[in-house]
Amino acid sequence: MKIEKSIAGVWNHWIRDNMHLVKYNLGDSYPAPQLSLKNVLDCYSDGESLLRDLALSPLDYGPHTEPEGLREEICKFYPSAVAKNIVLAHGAIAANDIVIRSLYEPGVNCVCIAPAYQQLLSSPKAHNYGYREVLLSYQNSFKLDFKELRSKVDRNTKLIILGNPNNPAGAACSEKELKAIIEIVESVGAYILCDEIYNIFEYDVKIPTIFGMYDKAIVTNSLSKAFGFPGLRVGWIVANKELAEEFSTVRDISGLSIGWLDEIIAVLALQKHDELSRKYLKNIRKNWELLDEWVNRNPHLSYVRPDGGSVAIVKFDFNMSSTDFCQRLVLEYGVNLLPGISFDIDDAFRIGFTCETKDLIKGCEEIDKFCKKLEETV
Amino acid sequence: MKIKKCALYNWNKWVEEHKEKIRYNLAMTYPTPYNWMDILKLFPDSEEILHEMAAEPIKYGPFTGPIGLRDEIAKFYPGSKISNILLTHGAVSANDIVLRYLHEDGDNCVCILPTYLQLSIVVHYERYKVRNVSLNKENNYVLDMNALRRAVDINTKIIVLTNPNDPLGIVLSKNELKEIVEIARSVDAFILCDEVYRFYDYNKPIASVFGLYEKAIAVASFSKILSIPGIRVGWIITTEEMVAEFSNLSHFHGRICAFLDQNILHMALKKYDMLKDKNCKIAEDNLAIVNDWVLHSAGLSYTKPTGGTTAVVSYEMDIRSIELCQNMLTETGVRLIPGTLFDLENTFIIGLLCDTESLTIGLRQIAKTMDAFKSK
Repeated sequence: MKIEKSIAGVWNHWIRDNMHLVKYNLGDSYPAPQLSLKNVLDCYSDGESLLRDLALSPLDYGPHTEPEGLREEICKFYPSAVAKNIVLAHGAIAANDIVIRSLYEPGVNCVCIAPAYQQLLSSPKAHNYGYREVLLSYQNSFKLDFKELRSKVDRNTKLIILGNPNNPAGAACSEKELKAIIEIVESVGAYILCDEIYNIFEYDVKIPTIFGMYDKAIVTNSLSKAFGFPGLRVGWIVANKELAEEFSTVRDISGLSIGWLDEIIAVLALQKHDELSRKYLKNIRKNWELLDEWVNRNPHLSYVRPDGGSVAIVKFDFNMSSTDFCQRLVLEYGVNLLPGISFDIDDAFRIGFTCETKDLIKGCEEIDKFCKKLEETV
Repeated sequence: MKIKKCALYNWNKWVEEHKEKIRYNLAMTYPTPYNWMDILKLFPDSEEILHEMAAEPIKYGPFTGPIGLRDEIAKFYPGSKISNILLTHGAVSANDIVLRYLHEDGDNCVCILPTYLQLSIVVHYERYKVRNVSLNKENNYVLDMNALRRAVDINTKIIVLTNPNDPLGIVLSKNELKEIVEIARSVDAFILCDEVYRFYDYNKPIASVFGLYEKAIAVASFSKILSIPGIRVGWIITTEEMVAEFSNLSHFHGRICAFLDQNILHMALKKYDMLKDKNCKIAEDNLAIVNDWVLHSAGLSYTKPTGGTTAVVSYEMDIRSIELCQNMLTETGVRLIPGTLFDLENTFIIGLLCDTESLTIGLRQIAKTMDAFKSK
């Protein structure tokens, strides 16, 4: 298999050695500070007894025919889904991988909407799909060009892949736009894989799930981002029952069951999702507003305000690579961002706004200082 | 590509549908799993540790796992460094990453049968042209090196095997592994050796392929030996260069292992010797009972396993093993594994990590059932 190297992985490797310099981490897209098992148990009146039950659960493979508990909890987020529509996987990465791998057949092509989380672009290429890309451009506010999409889809198109909301731009498709995509895709009988991992982070625009709008629409998501538990490695696919059955078989040969303890914790966490997320959702919304004010104030920066999600792509007008920009920012000012090159946008950085508000404010102040310095030198 | 549920899945589904009939579970390929508290109780202040672990944020953690975990694993492979190790979601995931990553159009692979079923499913799914070299009962399941030599050619990308053999429990010696290495080297092929049962060695350490050849890849986990398969942590161990390449796929396959699970494993490894001795003793004691029973039963035979946790017993009756095992379960409550699943017809497989009392009664029930069959 020929597989492209993870570009964000290069940055992650570098930042690992320089993490001690970071005072303000604006590089991540999941809530910080992160939640613990104790946070989950504190939502229950019998938390201590739940901990005991958990600690006494045998660390076995999950029961062979998957218990419905977790899948039923997940169903609550998809009005037209039942447990049989849900396939559990090791995080959304595994969920996406299973879908892309399963649907491949010799001779088919895949249309990918970019920019995107790299897996969604590199994985179809690695699986030998004919690769076609529809680029959301900054100039067009990261809005999908339907004409371009229509021109790239043909009868050999097996799969369209997108993120909703988009990572890293935060652009979201409304129900109307999703229906327009479906209309294009339906005509050739292609599948749609929609990575909805950030869709709970919505602001003024409602971001619907595509599941249920089209029989061949497949959704992936996980507990890692908007639900706040990256270390559980609990992800899922939502698809029609026939597809779900096939995906679960591929899942069995590529990883078998997810961690049993993690599955139980996931159920407990999802049952209290409203309570657990209330605090950080409020915080993230506030940050979304502050971010907007800040970008508008800084004359060197510009961006398209994200409709949803927890990150934004911010362009800078200095003549340097995004890696240079971000490395210097870490080394000289202690602020961590993700270089835009990770998404093939080299004159930008991706900023996450899931941290505590005070850290966002301070971090942005430091970026302002850096911009001032660059003004004088570059 | 379309994929159907395999025979093992269907068998397990059938067993689950009849699970209330199980009285003697003789299909245990690992001991009754421990729970989190069992592991913590091996340390003083277990309650305190439990609450501490519960209070830790459930974060991604490093891609390479908690500091010290790979060092612990490296101890089982003399001459290895942590950069030789890539953590994966169990050995299943490790096998999948290796076979997928290495495949290119036109490749063939040589599988030594019988084998862990996932391996044979994945090589077909990944479109390798598959050549099988079978271990035969007639020569006590000794690997025919000439047959292996004839099976490989310049398009052979990889030789795939398990050691100890799953399900036979036959162990390839270091010399035999070296011969396989020479055969692989002659066509520049990789070797993937699933060594998940290697730690059950009946007091005779079993060599790993790691270190014998620059294209040798070993896969394992602590799931069976420590009996905590639910934590889903395994690994690939090979050259640094190959680890870097497999990492590329791993980034898009599943990446990091679960945070809490890695921490629990790390704790369990501090008590590895004690847990290993305990679990190995169960296997040893039970193997002695099974050995005695087979030797004294007319119509039964087997090649005594020298590794792993299963014993494959051949029987002379004219009945398919799935039918025999279904009958055993529904009539006498004894759970076995049908050899048909591994294309070992006319055999049933005993998992040696059951409790000794169940084993003793279970074997008696099997004997009774077979007698009843013979007298029909």
